[in-house]
Amino acid sequence: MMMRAQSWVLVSLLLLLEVLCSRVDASNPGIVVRITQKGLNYACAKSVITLEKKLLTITLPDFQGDFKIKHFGRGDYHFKSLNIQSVELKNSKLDLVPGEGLEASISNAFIRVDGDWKARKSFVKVSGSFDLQVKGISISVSLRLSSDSSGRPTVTSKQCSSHIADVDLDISGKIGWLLNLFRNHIESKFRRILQDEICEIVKKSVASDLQPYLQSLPVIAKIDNIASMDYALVGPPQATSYSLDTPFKGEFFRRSHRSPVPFELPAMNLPEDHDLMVYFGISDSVFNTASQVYWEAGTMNYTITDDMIPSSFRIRLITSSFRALVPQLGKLYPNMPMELQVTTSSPPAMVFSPGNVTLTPVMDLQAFVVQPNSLRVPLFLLSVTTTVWATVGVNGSRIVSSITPGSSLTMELKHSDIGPINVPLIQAILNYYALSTLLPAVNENLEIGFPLPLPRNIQLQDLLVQTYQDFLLLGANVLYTKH
Amino acid sequence: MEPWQRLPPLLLLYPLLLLPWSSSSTVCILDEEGDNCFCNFSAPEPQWNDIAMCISAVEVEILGGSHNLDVFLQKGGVANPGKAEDVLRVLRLRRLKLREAQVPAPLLNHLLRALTYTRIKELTLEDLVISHPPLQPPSPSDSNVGLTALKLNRVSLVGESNLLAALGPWLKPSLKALNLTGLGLSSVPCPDLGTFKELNSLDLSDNPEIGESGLTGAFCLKEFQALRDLALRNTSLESLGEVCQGLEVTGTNVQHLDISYNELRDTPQTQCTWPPTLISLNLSHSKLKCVPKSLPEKLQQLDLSYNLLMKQPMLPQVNDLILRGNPFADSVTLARLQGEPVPKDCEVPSRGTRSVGTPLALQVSGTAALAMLRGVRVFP
Repeated sequence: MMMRAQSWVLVSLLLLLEVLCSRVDASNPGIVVRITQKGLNYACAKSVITLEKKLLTITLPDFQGDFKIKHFGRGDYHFKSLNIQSVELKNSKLDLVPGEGLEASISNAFIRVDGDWKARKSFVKVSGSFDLQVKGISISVSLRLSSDSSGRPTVTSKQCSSHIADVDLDISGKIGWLLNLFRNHIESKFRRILQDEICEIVKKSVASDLQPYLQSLPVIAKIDNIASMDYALVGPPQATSYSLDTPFKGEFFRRSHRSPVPFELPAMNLPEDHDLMVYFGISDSVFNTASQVYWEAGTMNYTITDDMIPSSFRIRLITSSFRALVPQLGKLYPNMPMELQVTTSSPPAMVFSPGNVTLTPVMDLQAFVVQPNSLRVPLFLLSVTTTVWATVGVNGSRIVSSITPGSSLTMELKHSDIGPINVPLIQAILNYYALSTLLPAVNENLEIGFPLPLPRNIQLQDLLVQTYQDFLLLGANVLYTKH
Repeated sequence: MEPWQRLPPLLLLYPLLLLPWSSSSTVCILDEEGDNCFCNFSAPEPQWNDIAMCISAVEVEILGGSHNLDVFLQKGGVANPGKAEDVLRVLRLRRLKLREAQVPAPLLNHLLRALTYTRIKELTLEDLVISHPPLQPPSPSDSNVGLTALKLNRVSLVGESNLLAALGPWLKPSLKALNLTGLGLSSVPCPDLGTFKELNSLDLSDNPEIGESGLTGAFCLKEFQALRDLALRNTSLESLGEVCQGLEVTGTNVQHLDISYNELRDTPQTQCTWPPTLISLNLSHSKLKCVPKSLPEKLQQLDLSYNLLMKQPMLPQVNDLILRGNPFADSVTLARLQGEPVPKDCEVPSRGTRSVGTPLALQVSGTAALAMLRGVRVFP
């Protein structure tokens, strides 16, 4: 008995542990997208335009009923081909509901519908057309935002309420004047049904338009042959009193073989700015996972040989080229080709601090001389560290960066097989040339950057970039362009 | 290539490619040890960039081939002044020699400013014309060049004639050796020597306008307590006696005096005491027909080479006596001069004391020469 109870406790503990562990995925995000009320207002305005256009294509379902006239008897009427001819959705709002999601509402909207009608009493059939003006439409729908197991956002409409202030029916056709007798009745019925119908339409629209649109966000994006980026949500979007925050994973990984990230992401404390429509908080882990991936893939190791130098260059990678700086090279190994092996001993880490990005790559440079019998004889091993200060910016919708002058290079002779080497002089010369010629070339490559997770048809304007402790904040206004 | 791989490996090599290169340079030659570098820019259109070959040399000599260096004035400023200063600070350069060129003063200004960052010790400027004066003094933020030796030989400053006054402010007061040869000086440039109190050696040779008056008027020499070597070769000195007086008046304490290449004669009438510190005297190439009578007391080295001495001098107190190139050592010249009368103001020491106590050095002149002398006896 005791044993069974114990094992039961053990099993439930293990289960609990597994549940908790699986929750680790809901860890700190690499990228947080914050949409402010201003952004929501813009989204709302744009959506309304789309909604209006969409509504104009909708055909409301047919509408029929019975009528009963005193001394006349019963008949039935049938309103069909209800086409929405004009729509005015004013006073639209998309509000934040802290802790819940969003609430979309429209008040005092207007729709004009026209269509055909027919009525029948016994064997008498009459028909005509009608014009319906629906005034003072108010709709309020609450949207619940979440994430699914694939890491994509989901939106569901929870509550919907609608109210129509007034319906004006104008019937024309033969004996239309007769139906006018029942106008009030028909109008009030129309009103009731329309009220329900509206919510149905809205719910459908959310499910068939809004949801697929959100689902168009990429979860995995290919960067190049080596790396891809994981944009999956690590939790549901959170609504606060001034913004909607969506946490993305933002992790680079190797396409060939994905391994878990070796470090924990720190939490990002985004400041409470809300002047712009959208803010992106990008943790330095995004850059460091990229660094890790490319380092593991060996892209940061190079071997430089003489045949890699274009033949139009006057200088070759041979010992005599370095005689001015390392005189004994010319004496010990006169005119022999050399080889330089450049390796990075660890992935270069990028650190964000307020106003600054610091990068400290460490490279080892091993020089070899290639003897006539192809034997490589080591000459010297230099360790080169740089402290690079960089700025980070945005180009279009990609994050780019550039290295500022002021960064310096430090060289250390780790080992020499050929006697003393004037490292201070080589270091001073490299520093002099590195900044004026190497930097612009490096910056050219850094300009390429990587893309921000944006849905289709969206561009960014009025960009703002600031670095904070451990993360980068990008703010922007959005421009939606649908072609 | 992919974005991250677009940084071609060659880019890392790029700065190295800009470094001094190519040992096939024929303009600048670096010796095997890498310490001495000599550049010959005499060609009509020289490869000036080759000077990078000398970047880690300790001693650099540049022959400008008489080119006009105005071309360098158009080149703009240095791309990275801060980093350029770092490079200058770690240079091994200690001795620099610039010869044969026309240098615009602003370029010299740049050079001097660059040199203030280095640890250079000796600077030699020879056969230069400095154009586009004035040579600006250093700005208050510049430090000075810590030279221990400055040698100016046949350097002229267009328009202004006072080169030392222009260069002086650039140098630290710790200058030890100063050569001002071939500059057309008419006197010892006292006002411009003012700051160099630690001067050990002063060479004013090849300035024919100095003469004895120039030396006599050099009262500032008194202030150079550390002055040990003084050279006044080819300065139109005529009289040893006046030189001695000049030294007495200025109160110098020189140890080595070089007044060779002057047409000297001894004037025993004047009463003069050589500075007691004088231990070395160079009177070579001075057309001396006989050994001067009044010589410094404590003289240890005397160079009488290439004069017109017909008799071997007896100077037992001098340890190091140099007599080569004199007629008495050369039978042919001696035969020619045999008929000439001995100048009145020379006294020949008596033969009695010849063999006794003759300095060892004299034995070297060869017995044949001595045998010759025996045969020649000139009586007043």
